[in-house]
Amino acid sequence: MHLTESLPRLTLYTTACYQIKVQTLLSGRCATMFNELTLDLNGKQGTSTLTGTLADQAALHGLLIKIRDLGLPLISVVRVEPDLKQSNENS
Amino acid sequence: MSSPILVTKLYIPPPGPQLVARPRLLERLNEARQRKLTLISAPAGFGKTTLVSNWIQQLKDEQNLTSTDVNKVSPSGPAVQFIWLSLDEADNDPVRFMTYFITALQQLENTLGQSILDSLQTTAVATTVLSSAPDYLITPLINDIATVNIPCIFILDDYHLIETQAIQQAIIFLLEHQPPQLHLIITTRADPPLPLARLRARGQAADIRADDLRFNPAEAMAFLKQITGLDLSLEQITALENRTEGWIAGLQLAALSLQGQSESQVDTFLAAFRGDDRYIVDYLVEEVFNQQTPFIQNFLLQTAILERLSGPLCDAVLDGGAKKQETGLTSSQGVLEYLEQANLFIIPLDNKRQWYRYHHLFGDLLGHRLHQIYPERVKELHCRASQWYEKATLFDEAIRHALAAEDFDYTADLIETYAQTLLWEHGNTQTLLTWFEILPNTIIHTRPMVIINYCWVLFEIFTDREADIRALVAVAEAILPDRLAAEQDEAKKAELQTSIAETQLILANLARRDNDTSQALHLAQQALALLPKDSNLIRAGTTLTIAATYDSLGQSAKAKEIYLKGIALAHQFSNSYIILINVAKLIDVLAVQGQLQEALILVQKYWPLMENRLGPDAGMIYINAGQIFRELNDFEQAEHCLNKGVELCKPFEAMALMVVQGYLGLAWLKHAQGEAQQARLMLQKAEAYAAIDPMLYPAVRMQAMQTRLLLAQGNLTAATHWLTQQGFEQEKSEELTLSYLHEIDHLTLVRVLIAQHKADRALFLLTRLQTAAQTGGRAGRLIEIHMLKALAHQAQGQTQQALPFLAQALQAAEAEGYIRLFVDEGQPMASLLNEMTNTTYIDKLVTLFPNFQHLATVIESVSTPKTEAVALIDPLTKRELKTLRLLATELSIPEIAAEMVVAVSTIRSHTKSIYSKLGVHSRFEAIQKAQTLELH
Repeated sequence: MHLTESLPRLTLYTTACYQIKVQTLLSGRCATMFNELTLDLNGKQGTSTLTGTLADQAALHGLLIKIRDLGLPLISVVRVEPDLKQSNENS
Repeated sequence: MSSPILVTKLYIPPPGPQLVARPRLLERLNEARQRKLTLISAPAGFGKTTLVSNWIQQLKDEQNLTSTDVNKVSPSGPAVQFIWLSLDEADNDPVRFMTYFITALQQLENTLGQSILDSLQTTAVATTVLSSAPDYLITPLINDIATVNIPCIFILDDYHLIETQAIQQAIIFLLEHQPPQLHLIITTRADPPLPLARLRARGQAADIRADDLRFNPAEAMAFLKQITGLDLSLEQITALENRTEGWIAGLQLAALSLQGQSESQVDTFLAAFRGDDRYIVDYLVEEVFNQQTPFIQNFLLQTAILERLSGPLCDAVLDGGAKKQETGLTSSQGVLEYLEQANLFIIPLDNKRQWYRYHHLFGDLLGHRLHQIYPERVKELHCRASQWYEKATLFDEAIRHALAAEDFDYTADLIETYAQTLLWEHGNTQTLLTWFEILPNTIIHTRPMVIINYCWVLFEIFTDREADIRALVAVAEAILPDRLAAEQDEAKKAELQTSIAETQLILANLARRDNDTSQALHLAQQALALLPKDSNLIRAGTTLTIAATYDSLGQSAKAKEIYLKGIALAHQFSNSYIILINVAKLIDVLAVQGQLQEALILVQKYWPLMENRLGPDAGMIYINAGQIFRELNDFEQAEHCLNKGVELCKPFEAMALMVVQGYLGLAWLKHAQGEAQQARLMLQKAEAYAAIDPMLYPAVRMQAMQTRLLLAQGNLTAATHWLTQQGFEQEKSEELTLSYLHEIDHLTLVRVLIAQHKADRALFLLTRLQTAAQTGGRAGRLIEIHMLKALAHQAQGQTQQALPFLAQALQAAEAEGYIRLFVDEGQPMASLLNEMTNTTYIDKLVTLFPNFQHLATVIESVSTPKTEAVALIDPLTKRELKTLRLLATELSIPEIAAEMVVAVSTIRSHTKSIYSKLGVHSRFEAIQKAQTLELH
């Protein structure tokens, strides 16, 4: 899949692209909570994948807090290549 | 009485030694005064707090300079007031958060938000408000801030500790309605769930993040030189900077480790962690820690359990052996000052060198170490801290440490002393609940006072834990008599006696919730008999339960007598909340008794007290007073009171009943003003609130009230429909079981029967209702019954028989000023009044009948079917959703195609697919449908 090794070294202040998968089909109001991210739904698995660029680790943790507060079961958090965002959207 | 406040939470931390000048960041902070929100978001150890406190110091210095020379304008603008609030985990209790928040703001103006503070302290339901309707508390606060004439910068430090939704809601609401004087600075380790993107887009928020905060190489060099005093080579500095990645806490730890080392040792040190991905903090803390004397090491470890440190507190926590001292540091105070000078990750919390805290990261690691090295000592340390806090009467902190010490007996002792105040005066039910849930049952079950307070908390917060409450009461009942018999101390005896009475009162309230009135009455009276002389608060509570029970039984005279007693009792110990609840209920009783003028006097008497209150207590009076004003035909006053009452009661689920009555009052008011549409709207709102809790407001009653208004508007079909639906059609009037609970429904039934020309049935029922009302002393209802008897006779064509009944009703009504009771009956009453011998009163009534033209717009049906949002069978794809969003803008199809970087034909095919999935035929329809389906 995506090779995290090839990505630039991560620090607490590095801007990075993340892909976060939750066990819920996000829609309506709930989906608008993540407007700044790209949302992909997988109806079969009943999962949603949020992909987007996050300013730094504090932003990532803020996003995880939002997911916790909405009560969305978290499947995975993966750092990805920034351009994966595009290719994923077209698939 | 005000909540105990830890003032250290409100101190602006004194600035640390200014080691490195950071003009670019200070400049960014200066811009905070043009923005609503400045977010300083970065992990621990990036110097967030230090930055803000240094900035404040700089601005204050500038302001002081400026103030000596009035002509000189400070480069950073006009004077500002800084307000600081250091948050901790306990602030997740909304009541506690709001108390600190408002107390902090009172530095601007000491009366600011005082009414909110008062209502937070007196109503245990304040938690409900913040969770369900934050605007209710925040709006008055915003209004107060808007009157202050200097700008204010409010710093919320460590906001990541706040997890409670209600508090987030309150802050969001504040940000959305922020007065221009106020600017927020939030420091946090993770971005808070606030609408940041929107605020940033509007230029109302800006961030200072880890990347901005970290030291660049030049800053790192200056910093290292200052601390170590060493002339490090560029290579060495680069190595340190690379390894710590500009992370200030890391650099500081490294610098501390390097203090007093020789050049060659520096290289060894650097070699030890270069190119290594180990977690450097552990390594560095170890280094720094090992450089300390055993005495300091011991001090650091033992005090690591404390959230805040002061000399006396540390003295109390340290064990005796450690206090004997070798290095000339004679007290903990001395040690704290030494640590501060040595830059050992200790942060002063005030200017007087009284309170400190460890840097979070350092404190955490020390705590971890303590648990590893001396696991057996931890409990004892907490225990000593708890005892110190108890002596300082800071019970919150005392209880928290006692729980950490797992000394549950001691915790229970503390809770017993403190719970009464927390529960009845501060309304901190949420905090209490947390503690009760941690306490093991074995402890709870031996402590009657803990049990009772636990029961009240459960009763206040939940409606579905009756079984738990009953089980707990049973335990208390089983142990209390023996305790009482064994107790010698008189004061303790009285306490136990009160507890025994309280068990009965709790049960009485449960019975009332179940509508078991006779049991409620029995239990409450038992409680009253058991209460010792001077337990006023519980006595007032019991009295209220008894009066309300008589009230619901229709025994108005008895209820009135007891409400009056309750008011007198509450005056004795000046509890506004209990006074007002009694007054509100008394007004309602007086209306049923037909004593409108007495009710009016009561309203006037308590008006000044109500005006300053924000709670449901005042709300209840407004609603009941509004009904009186409406009856007296004072529309303006009625509308004001009803609206205000509804606003005050709305946030409380338990007040749904009052809200329904408020809206019903408004519906009749609108009807009287000829605004049929508005009347219908109010009726719908009443209906919505009645649906919240059918236990409080039965559906039957709601339908009866609807029917009555429909009938008044001339809709006989709907009224007949109600009759059939309720089964009243089949039931014979003589078989109907009368009870006060259903009196209003039956009086509606009478009206429908008259309209259906079944006046004989109506008359029969009226005679039975009359007897019941007479027995209960409900003179107001008797007026209504006589009036209806007149109408029934008239419907039978027996005008002559009707007139004496009407005369009887009018005679009683005139002195009290009744108007709407007659006028709302409409045309039949108008013609009947015309038959009467003229008096001034009758003349006045007659002129008030409308010309009935508005009745042409008869309402078809009260409840219009609501369109339900239905999920799409075939959901839109991501691309289609994106297209749909763009369709809602002003962009043309080619522009949308350009926006999405696809061909126009692709957009057309998306659009086609969207239309078919949504079942629409135009762009406009699609957007509308998308809104109802919440597809954004």
